[in-house]
Amino acid sequence: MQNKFKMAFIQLTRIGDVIQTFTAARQLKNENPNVELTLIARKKFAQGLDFLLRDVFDNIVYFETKDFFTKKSLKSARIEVHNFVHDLNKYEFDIVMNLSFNKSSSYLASLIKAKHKMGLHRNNRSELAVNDKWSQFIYSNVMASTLNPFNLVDIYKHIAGAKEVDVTTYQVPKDGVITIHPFASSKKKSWGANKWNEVIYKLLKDRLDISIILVGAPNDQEKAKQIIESPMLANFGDRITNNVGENSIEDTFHDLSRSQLFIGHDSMVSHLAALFRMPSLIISLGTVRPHESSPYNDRAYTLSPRNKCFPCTVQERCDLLPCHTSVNHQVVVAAAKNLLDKGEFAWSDLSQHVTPFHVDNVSIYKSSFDEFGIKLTEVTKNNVSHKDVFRTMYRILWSYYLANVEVSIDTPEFNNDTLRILNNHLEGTNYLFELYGHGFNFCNRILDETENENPEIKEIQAGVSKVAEIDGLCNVTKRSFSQLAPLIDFFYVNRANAAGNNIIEITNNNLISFHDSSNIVAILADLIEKTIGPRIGTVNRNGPEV
Amino acid sequence: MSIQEEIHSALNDIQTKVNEGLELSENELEMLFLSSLIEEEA
Repeated sequence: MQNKFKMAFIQLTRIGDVIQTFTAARQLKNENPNVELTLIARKKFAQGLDFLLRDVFDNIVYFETKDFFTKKSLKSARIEVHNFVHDLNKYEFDIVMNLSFNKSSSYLASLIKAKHKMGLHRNNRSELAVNDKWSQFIYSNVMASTLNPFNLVDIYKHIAGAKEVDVTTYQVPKDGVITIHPFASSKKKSWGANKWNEVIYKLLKDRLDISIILVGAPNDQEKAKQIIESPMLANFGDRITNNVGENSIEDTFHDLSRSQLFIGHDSMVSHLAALFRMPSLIISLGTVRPHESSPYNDRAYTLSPRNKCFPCTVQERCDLLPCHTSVNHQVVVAAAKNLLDKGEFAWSDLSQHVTPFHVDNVSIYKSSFDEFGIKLTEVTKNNVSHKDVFRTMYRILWSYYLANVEVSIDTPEFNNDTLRILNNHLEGTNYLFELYGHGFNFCNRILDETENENPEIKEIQAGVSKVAEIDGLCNVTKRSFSQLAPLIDFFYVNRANAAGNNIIEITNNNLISFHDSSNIVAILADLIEKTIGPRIGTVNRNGPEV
Repeated sequence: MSIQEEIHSALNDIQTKVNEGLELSENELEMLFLSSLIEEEA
């Protein structure tokens, strides 16, 4: 009998990430039932999900840092770690996939023996290595840009090798219960109690047929008290069940299983609700990147602010939280009522209940599946921003380049400001095209020299210096044409991780990278031209042809 | 010597090897894994 193909998933980050990893692994298992999957995760983030994870993973290894220090000495901790790694290596994995992209996971991935390594890992000189293109995409785009067009589940899925769109569902519940999770992992990401009071009050007052379950963790109990004990809700106590801090994740999963609608922020519970594909309203604030981390659920709607500072970063201090006021509670209530009645809504449904003023500063996205995976499409009648247009173009480019999937997307409507920015970036694509062309030529020169009977080391070194110069000039281009950063950063990481044991192999791979980058930038230029073409008469066009 | 001081000392030795571009042993990589876990817990 043939041995099973063994894959290890390393996921050391938070509960939401573990659920996203579970969703991707489930799809992989559906497509490849004979693969043996092992999850390596932290106890505090994954053990509460054990009831779900066992459906997909054949083996689960939970660990915690403190487990290594039971004897309170470094010597014994090092022995514990050694034994832990030794036990992991007994599985004899074919592939180890690190999906968590932090420092500890990169070292763990380097310690686990496997024929192939995907995601961040280290070589035996402790240098970072990202060998596969999808992981290079995460490293260059997900962690550093706001223009990533892909949901993390789809990225994980493609790293793992799953191809199909995952629409598995546990059940379709419907009985007038709304589960609300009015919390998130940081203040920036969640509304204050007052906004939630308004939403809950309006829903309970206007819809006599519904009841509400509040769910959350023990450290959310104080805020839950502020919501529940508000005088506004004094008459509705019998229709609100407060399960905050009382229930396990499995209990919350059960609460969701008997709910018709989920409302909350971008958090672990929204990812649990996605497993039921239930109608969901997600309010994404602060540091949340909706296109990247919204629940993997084609019945979800995401409301996010249109403030220029959104999304911000964890490091940025913000006391006023302007993005919190941009999303109006009236919009949330109107959208929730539509979802209760029909399970979906369009702008025409919403516009009967809210004024354009209410949606002036908010983007409302509907999630749906396309050929690649989940995508977010704006349903509001606002003109899309230049970032939305670029994100759409990058979805077309990266889907094709990284997954060989052609996605069809309509040309979005945009205003003259966006038109000017697009037109300006055409010039940037021209510079990049030239730079990558030079890079290609320098690589060829190096390879030609190495083929000489007596290669001149000086010539080879000069070529290598020129290739390094190209990277410097690409960085200058990035500063002037910021929306090209995803492309520039990806191919920089791609070349920095070029495989090879000698100058010839590495240069050959750099040559391929420059060839690919030239093609991709030419396609981007073409997309920009086609997008702005019908409207080009309305602005001055300065950009040279590509 | 406290655990923190022991960790600091062990990491210093490893860092010297890293700076010199030398290959690390499995034991040293395990130490780096352990210290990065502690760093992330902090």
